[in-house]
Amino acid sequence: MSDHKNDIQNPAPNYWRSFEELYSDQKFLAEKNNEFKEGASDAPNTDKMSPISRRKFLALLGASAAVAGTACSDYQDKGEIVPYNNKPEEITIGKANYYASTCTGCSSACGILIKTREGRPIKIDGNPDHPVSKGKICSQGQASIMGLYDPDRLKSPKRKIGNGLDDADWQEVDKEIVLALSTIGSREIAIITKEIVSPTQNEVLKDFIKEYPATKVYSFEQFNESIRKNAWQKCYGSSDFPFIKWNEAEVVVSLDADFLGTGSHRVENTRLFTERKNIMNKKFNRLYSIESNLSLTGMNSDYRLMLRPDVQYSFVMAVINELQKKNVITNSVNASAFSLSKLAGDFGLSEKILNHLVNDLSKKKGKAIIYAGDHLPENVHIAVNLLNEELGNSELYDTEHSTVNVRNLSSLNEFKNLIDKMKAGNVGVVIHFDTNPVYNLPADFNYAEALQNVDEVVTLTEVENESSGLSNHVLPIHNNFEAWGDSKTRTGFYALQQPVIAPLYSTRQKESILLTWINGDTTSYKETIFHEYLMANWENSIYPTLNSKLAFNPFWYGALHDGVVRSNDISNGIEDFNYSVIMELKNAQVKSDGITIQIKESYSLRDGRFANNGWLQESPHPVSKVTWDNYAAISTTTAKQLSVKNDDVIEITVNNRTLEIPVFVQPGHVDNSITIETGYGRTNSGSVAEGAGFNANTIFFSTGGLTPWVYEGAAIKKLSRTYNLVVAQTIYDFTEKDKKDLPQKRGIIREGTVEQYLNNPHFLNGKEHKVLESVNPPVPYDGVKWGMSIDLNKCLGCSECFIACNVENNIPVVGKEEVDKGREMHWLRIDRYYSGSAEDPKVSLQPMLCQHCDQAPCEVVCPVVATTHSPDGLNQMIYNRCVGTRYCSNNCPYKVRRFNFFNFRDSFNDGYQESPVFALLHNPEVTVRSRGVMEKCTFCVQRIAEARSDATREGRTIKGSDVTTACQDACVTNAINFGDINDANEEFYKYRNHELGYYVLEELNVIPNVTYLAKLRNTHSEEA
Amino acid sequence: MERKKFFSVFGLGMMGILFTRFSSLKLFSKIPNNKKKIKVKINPLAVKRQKIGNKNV
Repeated sequence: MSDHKNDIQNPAPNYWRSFEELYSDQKFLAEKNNEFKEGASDAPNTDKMSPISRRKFLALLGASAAVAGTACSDYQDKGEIVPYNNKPEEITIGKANYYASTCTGCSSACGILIKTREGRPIKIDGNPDHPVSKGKICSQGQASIMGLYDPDRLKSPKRKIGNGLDDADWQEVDKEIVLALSTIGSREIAIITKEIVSPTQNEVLKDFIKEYPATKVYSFEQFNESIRKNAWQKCYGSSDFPFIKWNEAEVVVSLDADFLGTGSHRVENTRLFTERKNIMNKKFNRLYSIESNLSLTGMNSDYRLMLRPDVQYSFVMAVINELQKKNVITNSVNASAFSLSKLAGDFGLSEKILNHLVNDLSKKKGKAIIYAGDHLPENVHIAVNLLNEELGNSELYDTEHSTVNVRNLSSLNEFKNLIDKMKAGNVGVVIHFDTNPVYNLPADFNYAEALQNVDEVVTLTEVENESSGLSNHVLPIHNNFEAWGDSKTRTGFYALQQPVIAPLYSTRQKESILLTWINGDTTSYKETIFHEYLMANWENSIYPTLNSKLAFNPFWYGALHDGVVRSNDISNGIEDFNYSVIMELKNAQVKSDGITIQIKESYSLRDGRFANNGWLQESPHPVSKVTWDNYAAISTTTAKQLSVKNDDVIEITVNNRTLEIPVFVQPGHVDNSITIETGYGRTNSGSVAEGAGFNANTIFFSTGGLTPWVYEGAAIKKLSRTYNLVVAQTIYDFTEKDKKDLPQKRGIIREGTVEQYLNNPHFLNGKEHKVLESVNPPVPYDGVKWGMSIDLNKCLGCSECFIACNVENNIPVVGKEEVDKGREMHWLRIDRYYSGSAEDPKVSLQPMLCQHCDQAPCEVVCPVVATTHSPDGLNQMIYNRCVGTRYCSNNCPYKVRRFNFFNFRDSFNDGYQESPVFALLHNPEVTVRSRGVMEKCTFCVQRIAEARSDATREGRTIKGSDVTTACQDACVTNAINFGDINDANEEFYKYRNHELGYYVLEELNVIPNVTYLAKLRNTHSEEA
Repeated sequence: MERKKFFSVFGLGMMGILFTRFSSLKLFSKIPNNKKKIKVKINPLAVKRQKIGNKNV
């Protein structure tokens, strides 16, 4: 280096860029002469470089950006959340409003309470003020909320163009129809309706007839009580069959009657019947069920005998004969040709049970009731009426109330005449008034063919159906929750129906459509036209008869608030029995050969009107647990005789018509008989119903059978193909010794008899219920601790709780394929267990849901602590934390956890449940779960949170009785109780600590918070 | 593939993906005509109730 000191004193007059340059560093000077830095011009060392080329890097970058963009872009459009500019007075944000109304799902017209949130109806429960339904409704009533938001609903009127239907304008179609009505000439206008229970609707029809005198109204229900009513008319001179005080009957004999499962009075029947299955006051009835197919009623019977429908007459006559021989009854009917012991021999009936039956009827005179199924022939009903009369059982008829027929159903003969007129070209206009005769009328009428001779066919409907497909005009009508109405089903009260949401689409109230046509001026339509008509009819016709002290307006708003109005009309009572009718009871055996076919109403879809409801389609059959399909139920013996097994398709031929349908071997089915439920096999009824099941109505006939629902001598042929029936709960092997009666052996099902219980109330658990030791220290719960009890004596397995849970908790429909893989999402299921033999099993039922165990096995295995325990004893799920390992489900002994293998809302039916209108159905208090998340019963934690919030606002602590779960609210029989385990003052505490209480799989010591109360069968002591 | 062509293809592909995922037209949606907004209006003539505690009044 140079002498710095001198250089600084005499700096060179040039510019420098670095000290090296300034001081002429030798190394720097050497490098300065090189153009490039050392190594810069060398070839790159590829060994030290990344193996990815530039091109590949950019390709990967592009692909990863595309993947990231695709993956992250699938968030739903949540829309804008903006506050109301003008908040409707009725709405408090976050607070539900309720509206009293009437269900129009069937002719029962039960009172309902519609829960709405921010204007959207989201849940239906029973109206507690309604004198019949008393706060409860059936599963169809609850699931009907899905119908309002069904994306398949018709959104505007349609007109037939070529072979299809095209959108049209209301005024145009009105004009065309009014023209057809006013130029009808000598031809008939036929209006086909369901059973009419609305007095005001009936007035509209009368006005229509006044305006268009060529009109005739035909009312039809595929399943009805016409035979029972005709028999009653012959016996007592009136067609008003009385209601039965089931709660006062000590013995009930059901002759092929599924009075707890189907029929129009089932909610009331169920409630009253189970009042006498009471472990608190120790009152128990005894049910004998003599039936062909294992029904919901038969499952809940104490004694069950299997008998074909065509032998029921012989059976009831044999009972009469037996009681005559014992001098219990002394009528003059000659029943000597019938004998119970012969029937027992011919049909394999237990003589011991028959003796019990006869003895019980003898001993319980006036406290027993015999009840025959709607589908049985008139002579069976007459014999039953005679037997009840002679035994003094008419005491159990409710004489204070009687049915009111606003308009009688038309007979099959009247329909036959209509079809003949249609075929002859004498009918100019047919109006399907919210009904579907092409599907529901007997097949031998050939109604669809007859329609071709009618110039103008109009169908008023919510969703397209088989009848709309053959119509010139299809007019969309309001859903029940958008419409006004009233009903009168029995003496003592009227009920009102009010709309709780403005119409979602360009639909009209069906009565308003008729009123517009009556008016003739198609421009006169306005949305309030029927509302005004209804109010006027009430003010002028109904209100004056009620002797109300209020002026009409306050009366009207009060009536809408309550949903029902008491009236002063009284029952006509019951006339004396007309003994001349016994001449119709022939003293000759009725026996048929071959196979008997019975057509039955579906438990889920009824006559098909609920076919497009996914919740109901996916609801497992209460007995067979089959979903999404109907089938031919046959006995094990008949299956062997026909060489068929489950899923084999058979061809049934009756009256030269055939039905191809898969077989389901039903334990407990009578031999040489087949039972088929209808309501399936719809061909034009919305995308959910499409392809589900088989149309059994192809063998539903007006004549030729024992009754329209029972045919004898069917020919059966096994076809070479099979069809996959999906069963939500399979039947374990009856023959394998270890598995036989396994649920009983493992203590899942624990049962006894009434006799056992009365003799020793502690027979089930002993006087001191043993508490098992646990390695885990008990966790103290100082405040409220939630628990549930389920009384298996009252639980009938009807599925009301199941549907209520679906609606409350936004449970998606997953479809048949996914149910087949065990991926149904139901938080609550009803397990059905058989015991005994496959030919004649006993049935035990058990609703199964998350048991909220204190020592929950699911909690300890979750690697991300997504399932935890709350301080009030709830087993909680944290959806955001769940990563979907499914360890919890694996470790749950009750198998009640359900995993979202897909976003089922998107994957089912091409995104049907993702439609914006469907989203309005969701309960905003419950998270809508997506793919990859585990879920299960929460004990309706949203209701607990609401009750806690209310209690805090009121400055008190929450009580157990402040909360009711959705399943509890829905349970018609009050089998479910919910409350605080720690509060000894509550009703729930009695059930939780009842001597019949037990935990399922108690030996696991997971300490469940659901207590089951053991079922008691009211059999005789020798069978204990 | 030359660089320019690669970027053209890449760019077009990305645009296609973004279009199908984010396009407001939703031409590629599973439910093409089902995204119409539904207006919810309450019926002012109906008479409401409210739940107070366990009672519905």
